Amino acid sequence: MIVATTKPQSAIDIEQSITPFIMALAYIALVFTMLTPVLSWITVLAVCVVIVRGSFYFRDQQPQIALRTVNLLAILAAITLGWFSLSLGLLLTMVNLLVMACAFKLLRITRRKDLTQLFASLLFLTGCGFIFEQGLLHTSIYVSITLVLLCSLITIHAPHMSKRGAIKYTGIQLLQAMPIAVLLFLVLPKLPPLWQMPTAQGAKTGLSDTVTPGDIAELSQSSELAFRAIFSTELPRNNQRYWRAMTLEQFDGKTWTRSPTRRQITRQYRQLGRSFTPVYEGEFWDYQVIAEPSHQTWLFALDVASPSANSEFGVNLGFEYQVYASRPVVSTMSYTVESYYNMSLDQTLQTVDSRVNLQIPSNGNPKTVEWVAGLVAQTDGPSDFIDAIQRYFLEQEFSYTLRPQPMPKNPVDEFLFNQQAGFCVHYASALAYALRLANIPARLVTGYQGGEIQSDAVISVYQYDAHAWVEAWLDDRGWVRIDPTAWVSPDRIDFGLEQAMREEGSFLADSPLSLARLKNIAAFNQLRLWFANLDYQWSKWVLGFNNQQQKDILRQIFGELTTAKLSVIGLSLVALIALLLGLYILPMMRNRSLNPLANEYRKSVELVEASFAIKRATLGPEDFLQRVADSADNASTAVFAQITEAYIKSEYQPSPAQFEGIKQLQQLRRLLRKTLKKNR
Amino acid sequence: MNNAIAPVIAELDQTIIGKSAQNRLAVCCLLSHGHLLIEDLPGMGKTTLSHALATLFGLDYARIQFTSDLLPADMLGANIFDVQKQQFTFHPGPIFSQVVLADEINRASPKTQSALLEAMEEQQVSLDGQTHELPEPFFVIATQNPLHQAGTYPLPESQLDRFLMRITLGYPDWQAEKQMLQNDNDEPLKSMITAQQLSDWQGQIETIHVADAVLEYILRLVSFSRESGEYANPLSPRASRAILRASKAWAWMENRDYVIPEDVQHVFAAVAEHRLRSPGSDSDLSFQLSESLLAAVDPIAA
Amino acid sequence: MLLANLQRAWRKRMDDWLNRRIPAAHKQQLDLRSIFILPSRFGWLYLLLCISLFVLGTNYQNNLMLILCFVMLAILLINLHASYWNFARLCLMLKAIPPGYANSQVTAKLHLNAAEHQKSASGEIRVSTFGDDEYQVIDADCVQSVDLKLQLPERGIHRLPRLTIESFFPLGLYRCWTHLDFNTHLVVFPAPQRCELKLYALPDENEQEGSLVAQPGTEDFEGLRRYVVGDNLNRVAWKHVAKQQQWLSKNFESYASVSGFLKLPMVDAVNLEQELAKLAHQINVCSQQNVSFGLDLGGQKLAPATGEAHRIKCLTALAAYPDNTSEVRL
Repeated sequence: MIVATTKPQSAIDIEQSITPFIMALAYIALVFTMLTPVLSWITVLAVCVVIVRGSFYFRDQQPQIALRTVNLLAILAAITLGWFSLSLGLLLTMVNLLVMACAFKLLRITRRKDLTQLFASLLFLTGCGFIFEQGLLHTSIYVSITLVLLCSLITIHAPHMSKRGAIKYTGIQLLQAMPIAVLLFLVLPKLPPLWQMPTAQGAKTGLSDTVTPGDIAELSQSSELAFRAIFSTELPRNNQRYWRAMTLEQFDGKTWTRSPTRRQITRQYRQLGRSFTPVYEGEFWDYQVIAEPSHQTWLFALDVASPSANSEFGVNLGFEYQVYASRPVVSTMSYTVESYYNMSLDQTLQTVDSRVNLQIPSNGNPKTVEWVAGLVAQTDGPSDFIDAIQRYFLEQEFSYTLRPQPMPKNPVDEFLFNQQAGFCVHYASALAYALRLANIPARLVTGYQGGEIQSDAVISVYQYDAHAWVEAWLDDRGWVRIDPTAWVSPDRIDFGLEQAMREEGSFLADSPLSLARLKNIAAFNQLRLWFANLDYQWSKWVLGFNNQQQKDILRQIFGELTTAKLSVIGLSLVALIALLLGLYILPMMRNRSLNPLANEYRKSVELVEASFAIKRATLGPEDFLQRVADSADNASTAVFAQITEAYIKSEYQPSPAQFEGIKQLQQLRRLLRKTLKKNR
Repeated sequence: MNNAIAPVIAELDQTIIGKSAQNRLAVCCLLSHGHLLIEDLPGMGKTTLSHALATLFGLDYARIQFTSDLLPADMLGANIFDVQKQQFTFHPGPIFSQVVLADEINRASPKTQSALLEAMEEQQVSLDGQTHELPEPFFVIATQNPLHQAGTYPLPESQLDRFLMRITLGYPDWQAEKQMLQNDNDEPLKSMITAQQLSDWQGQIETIHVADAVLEYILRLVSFSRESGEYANPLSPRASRAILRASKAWAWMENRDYVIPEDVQHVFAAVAEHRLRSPGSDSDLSFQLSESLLAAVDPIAA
Repeated sequence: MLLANLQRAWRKRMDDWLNRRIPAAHKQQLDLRSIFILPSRFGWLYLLLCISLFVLGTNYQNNLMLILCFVMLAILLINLHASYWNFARLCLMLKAIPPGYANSQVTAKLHLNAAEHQKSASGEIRVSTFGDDEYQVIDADCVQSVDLKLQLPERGIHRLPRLTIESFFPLGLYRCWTHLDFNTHLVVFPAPQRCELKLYALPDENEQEGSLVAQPGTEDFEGLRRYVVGDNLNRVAWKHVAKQQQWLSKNFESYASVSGFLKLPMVDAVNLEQELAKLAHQINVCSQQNVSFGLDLGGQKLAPATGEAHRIKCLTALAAYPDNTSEVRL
C-alpha cells in the first residue's frame, strides 16, 4: 500500500449529504401522484420519513436511527400491510409494499449501496406509477421525477458539481435519450403479454358490475375520460349513442348484478368452444375505440357490434351483445368496431334469454307487485303495458335528479310511489322490474350515453355520461331498447347530462375546478377542447400505439414488410442509434476550452507561427503583433493586426461582446489563412 | 504615449540620458501612489532622477541623507519646548515634503529605516501620542547601495515590499554618456505640472478598466511563483495588488483606458523582482527571477 | 504454493502487458489505449431494472412504461460515452515525490489537468495503488491539483508502483479506470534511530581510523541573547517573549569548526538496517549543528560538507545502500 487512505466517507456524511434528501423529495412527489392506490397510512408514513430526512439534511438532528429500530418498524408495517392485503389484491399490495420499503430504506442510509438500491426502487416505482396514471400531466411529473433521480445520482459521484450544472447535465442526457427511446419504441416489435399480471380492483372510477340505484349518480360527478371513438363513417346522433358496456340480469329487489345462470351458460359455451356470431346485415357505423384503462374486461360499443382487435388483447362479442376484452384493460387499448344499427337483437336463444330474464326477487316491493298486477289487467299486450307505465311516469310528473333521496327499503316502491324523482338507474331498475312482473323478459343495460363531439370524427365519452337503460324481449322484435329516462328527461338523451341538469345546477357539483364545468365561458371551453385534443393525440399516438399502428407506419416508410426488409430495418435502427450517439459525442470530444475567445486567437497565432517560423512564447498580443510585423509580409501583418485588434477589443476592453468577438475572429482567421496561402 | 504625460517624460529623458525605461517606471510609480526604491552604485544619477521628478511635477522636495547616526527624530521632526509660549510645539522634519529622497537608506540603523517605512505605509507620523498627516501626494524615493558594500544595514525582506517598485539605473551606454558629457548644461528644470493635475491623473488611473483576462494573468503569475517551488519568496497578495496598480498606471501612460498583458509585463520586473528575491541571494542576479516567471506564464488566458 | 505461483505469474504477465500498453511517463494524457471501461455493479443492477421495466410494460401493455425503459436504456448507452470522455479529459502529472523516512508519510502533488487551456474532468476520482483496495478520493470539481498522501515503505529506492485511477462519474453506471506508471522513484531514508554521535577524523589528515575528533552533545544550549532582526524565528525564546515582552534568541554552540566522517561499521545483514538508521540520526544531528561531516559507506565516500543539500545527499546514499553506483536523481 503506497497510496495512503484518507478518512473514508463516514456513515454520517452519507446520511447528511444532499443525495438522500433529493431522493426523498422525488419519493414524496411520487407518493403524492399515487394517492389512490397507496394506503393512507403508508402515505402518512412516507411524509414522516421525508420530514425526518429533511431534518437530517438541514442538520436539525443527528442521523441516529438504529438498524434494529428500522427493522422492527418494517416488520410491524409489513404485518399490517399483510392484513390489508386480503382486501387489496396482489397488485396494490405489491405497490404498497414497494412504497413502504422505500420509506424504510430512506430512514437509514449509511452506505453508497443504500443510495443506489434506493434509486433502483424509486425508478421502478416511477414505472409502476404508469399503471395507474397515463395522462399527460402525470407523464410530465414522472419525467421530472426521473430527472431528479438522475440528478441525485450525479450528486453521489460529483458532490461539488453545482446544482444547476447537475440539472443541466442530466437534462441534456434525458433529451438526448428521447430520440433513441422513440426509435426503439417505434421499431422494436410489440410483444404480447408474457404472463397474466394482477390488476387493481376498484382502483378506478368507472362502471361496476353491480348496480344499485344511486351508483351511477356518483359516477356522474366525475369528468374523467372513459373512452374515445373515432368514426370513419358518419357520426350517430346523440340519441343513437347508447354505448353498451354490460348487461345485468339478476335483480334482488335492490341491486342488479350479472346473472349466475348466465355465467354458467357462458362457461359451458366457452368449454364447448362456441362463440356468439350473429349474422350481420344492413348499414353500420365503422369506428375505432380507444379505451382508457379501467382494470376491467368490459368494453364499449353501439348496437350490434362486430369488434376486431388491433392489439394483442383479444376482443370478443358476448351472448348479451356486449363486447369484452380477454384480459382486464390495464393500459389504454384500442379496437375497431362495426356497429349495425338497423339490426334486430333477435339472434340469441329466446328460451335461455327468457328464462334468465324473468327472474324476480321472491319478496319485497309489495306495492309495485300489486300495481303491476292492476296494470296488466287493464292493458292489452306488452306494448300497451309499456305505454301505460310511460303514461304513469309522465302523469305523476316524475323528475330527473342527480341528487336522489336514499331509498334503503323497498326501493322500487319508494321510488314509484313516494319520491317519484331519481336518476337513470332508478327509472331503468323500476321499469325492468315492472316488466318482469308482467312476464315480459327484461334486463338492465349499463354503459354510456351520448358523449361530446370533439372534432369531426371523434367522440369523447366521459364518466359523467354513464347511463343505464332497459331492454325488453318483445316476441316479434327480439331485444328492444327502452329508455325510461328519455320519457321524463328527453334533454338528457338529446343534449347530454349537462343540459339536463342545468336547472338543478348539480352537473359536476363536487368538482368545482373541473374545466368541464366552465364550458359556458368561451375561452375556457376553447382551452378545455384544446387540452382534450392534445390528450386525444397523446392517447392515440402514444398510449394506444399498438402493433397495427406500428406496422402501418413501417409500411408507409418501407413498403410491404418482408423478412429481408425487417432485418434491414433492424440494422438501420442500430446504425441510426450509433449515428445519434456519435452526434452526442462530438461536443464531448472537442477539447473544451475554458476561454473560447482566447482559443480563437490562439489558433490564428498558430497559423502565423507556422508560416513565419516565429514563436509567441509568452508575448502579449501587441508585442507579438510587433514580432509578426518584423518577420511577415505586409498583407499578412495587416490581417493579423486586425485579428489582434479584435481580440484585444473583446478580451480586454470594457463591456466586451464575447460571442461577436469569437465570430469576428473566426472570419478573420479564414481571411488570414487565405492571405498566408496567397503570399507563400 | 499619453499626450499629457509625454512632455514630462521627454524632459526627464533630457535630464537622465539613456535611461528611458527607468524614467517611465519612475513616473509610473509616482502615478500609482507607490514609493520607489532605486538600487545602484553611487554616482549613477539616483539623486538627479529623484530631484528631476520632484521639480517636473511641481512638488516640494526634501532630501534626507541616511547615515548610521541618523535618528528617527532627525527625519520625522520633534516636539520642542517653546519657552515663550510655555508649551511643546511640533517642528516637522524633512519628511513632511511631497517628494522625499531617502538617500542611501541602508546606511541608517534599522530603527530609522523602520520609522521611514512606517510613515510611508501609514501616510502619517505619530509622535508623543499626536499624529501628523503627511502631505498629499507623498512620494518616497529611497536609494540603496548594493548590499555587499561595507557598513550597511540591508532592508529586511518584509520591509522591501513597502516599495511599489525597485529599479536600478546601471551604467549608461557609450552614446548616452557621450551625449551627457557633451551638453552638460546646468539649465535648471522648470515645473511642468501642478499637484492638482497629478491628482486628476491619479483619479483617471483609478477608472482604468481591467478585464478578467488580465486579472487572471496576474493571478497566474502570482500563483505560479507560489506553486512552482522555484521561488524562495513567493509573491504575496500585496504584491499582486501592486502589480495591478502599476499596470493600470502604465496603461494610462500608454493612453489606453484598459489594461493589456503587455502593461503587466512592462511593470512586472520592477514591481516583483525585489519581492521575489531572497535576501541572502546575490544582488548581481538582477532581474532574473521575475523574467523567468514572465517566461513561464502565458499572458493569453488558458 | 501453486496458487501463489500462478498468481505471481499472472501479475507478471499483467505488468508486462500494461508496460506495453501504457508506458511509463511523467505526464499521462488518458486516451483510448490507457482507459478501461466496464459497467459497474450498479450498472448491472440498472440493466436488470431496465429489463424488469420492459417485462412489466409488456405484461401491462403499457407504452409509457416501455418508453421509460427505452429512455433508461438510451441513458445507459449515452453514459458509456459520457463516462469515457469525462475520464479522457484527465491529464495527470505527478511532480517529483519528496524523499522521506521509512514508514512515514509524504505528500506528492498530483496535477489533474496538466494540459491547460482545457476544461478538466468532473466528479470524484479515486487514486489507489494498483492491486490495492484502499483509495484516496479527489474531487476534480474542486481542485486541479491535489496533495496525494503516500505511505512510504521500508528503506530503499523504490520505483513508484502503478497507480490505479478510477472514476464513476457521472451516474455511476460505468467504472472507468487506468493503471498509470508515473516513472518516478520513492527515495526512502532509513528512519533515524537515536544514538551517540561518532565522528571519525578525516582520513586524509590522519590515517588512524577510529580516533574521535569531537563528540558534541546534542543541542547544547548555551544561553540567551537579544533578538536581532533576521534571527531564525524558531530560535526565538517564545516563553520569554510572552512573559517579558522582550525578544530573546536562544543561542546554541556552534561546532562549525569540527569536521569528520560518519562511518558505517562492518555489520552483518541483520544489523545493517539498524546501523543505517543510526547513521541517519547522526547525519541529522550534524546537519542541525552545522558540523561539516562526510559519509563513508565503505564502497562510497562523500566528502565533508555542510548544508541541507549535503544532508539530503547523504541520506539518499543511505537509502540507496548498498547500491552505490546509481546516481539517483531526485
